[in-house]
Amino acid sequence: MHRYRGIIPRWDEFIEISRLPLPKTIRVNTLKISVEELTKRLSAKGWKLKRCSFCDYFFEVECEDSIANAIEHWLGLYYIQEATSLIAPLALDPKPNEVILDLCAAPGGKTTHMAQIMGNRGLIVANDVKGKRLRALMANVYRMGLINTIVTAYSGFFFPDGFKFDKAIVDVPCSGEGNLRKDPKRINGAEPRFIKQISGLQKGLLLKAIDLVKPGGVIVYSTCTFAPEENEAVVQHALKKRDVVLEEIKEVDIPCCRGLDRWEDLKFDRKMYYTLRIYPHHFNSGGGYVAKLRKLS
Amino acid sequence: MSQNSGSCLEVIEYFKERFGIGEEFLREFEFYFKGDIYWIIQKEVLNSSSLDVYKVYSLGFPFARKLDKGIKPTSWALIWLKDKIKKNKIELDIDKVRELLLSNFIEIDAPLERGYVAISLNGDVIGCGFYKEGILRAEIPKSRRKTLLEIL
Repeated sequence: MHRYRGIIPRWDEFIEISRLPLPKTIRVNTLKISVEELTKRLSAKGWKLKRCSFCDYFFEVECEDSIANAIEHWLGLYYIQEATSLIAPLALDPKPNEVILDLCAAPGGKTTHMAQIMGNRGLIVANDVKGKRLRALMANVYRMGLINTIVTAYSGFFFPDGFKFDKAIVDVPCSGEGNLRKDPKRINGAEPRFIKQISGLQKGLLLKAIDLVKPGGVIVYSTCTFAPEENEAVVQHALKKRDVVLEEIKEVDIPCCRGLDRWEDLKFDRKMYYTLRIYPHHFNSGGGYVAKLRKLS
Repeated sequence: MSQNSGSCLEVIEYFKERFGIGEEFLREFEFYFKGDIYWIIQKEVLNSSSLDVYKVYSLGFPFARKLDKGIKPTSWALIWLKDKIKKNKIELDIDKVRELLLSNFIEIDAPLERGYVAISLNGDVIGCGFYKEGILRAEIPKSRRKTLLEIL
């Protein structure tokens, strides 16, 4: 992680908070219950809820209980989610009449959040590879009561062409350095060889997502890592290979850092400033990266 | 997935008759039939040409199953319908729910018609059961039962 010392502000604060566990956080499933009703219900159990500054249906919870072992969770009245993962769906800003692709959807946090934003209207195609992850995705789709979502199981690279989406979200597999508060071993940072390897996969997935969107459509790329090779470098590759531009993320007002303009011997587009780097000490969360692209042709 | 569109009516009719769900409400949705499952989805999903392109694993969520003897509601459907269920709903206390989940059957004395019922705990519908002559059988999927028992 020390290689990021020059790009992460307030380094000591970053290290300090990275050693602390994540707060318990939930997103109210407004497709099933109102924020008022659920907060009243959870408060009656003795849970203390603190509303998120940038998302009025997201709460930090203080309680002795496990938030996963509550009947309200079992019923799908809320989704246990980390604050950083709210940003990509908010940035995509899906509308109820749109057709959205979630290319790497499991376990379904972003899919179920987008369905909520869309009021269960329009259409989301939630895709992930077969197996345990797909089962988790389907279980969450059912539990949260989504009726605007279909689930497919293609390898991202082989997702069929032919239909063009209004928007796509591509939350790629990554080295997960931003999950260091869930897994303290990650404080050492990811292996450079792994980062290099996965960066190739990420580039391919982002290009595929761009190809699946209509001209004029929007693509949001996100990771839960700090590695510029998996973030800015992947976006830079897409800017070079496809007719896309970076757009400012105006939908979310959060404390964060801007994308880098250079990293080691790599130089990035000036508009990389529009992309967001989230560090744990920004709003007591995990870490991640979000970029928003518009396809021109 | 392929659709047998003519069958949507039998789902609407069943939920109307068995659980008192408003027909106008159910008509807002599509019930897509594949294998023996009816999946509930928004109408616009079926109107999208994207469906023809993909091999679809699930579509909305499973709402009911078509059996030889008729329609069986899923627990997902009954949980989703919750307050819209006007009849054949039984409220159990936590001990009775535990007993039901552990032993699969309990004896109850309730004004229910023979057939599938919605089981409720503290006002929340928690899934499907089958009632016959004073005996209630749990129809909640086993994996969901296990996690519910852990919570209770």
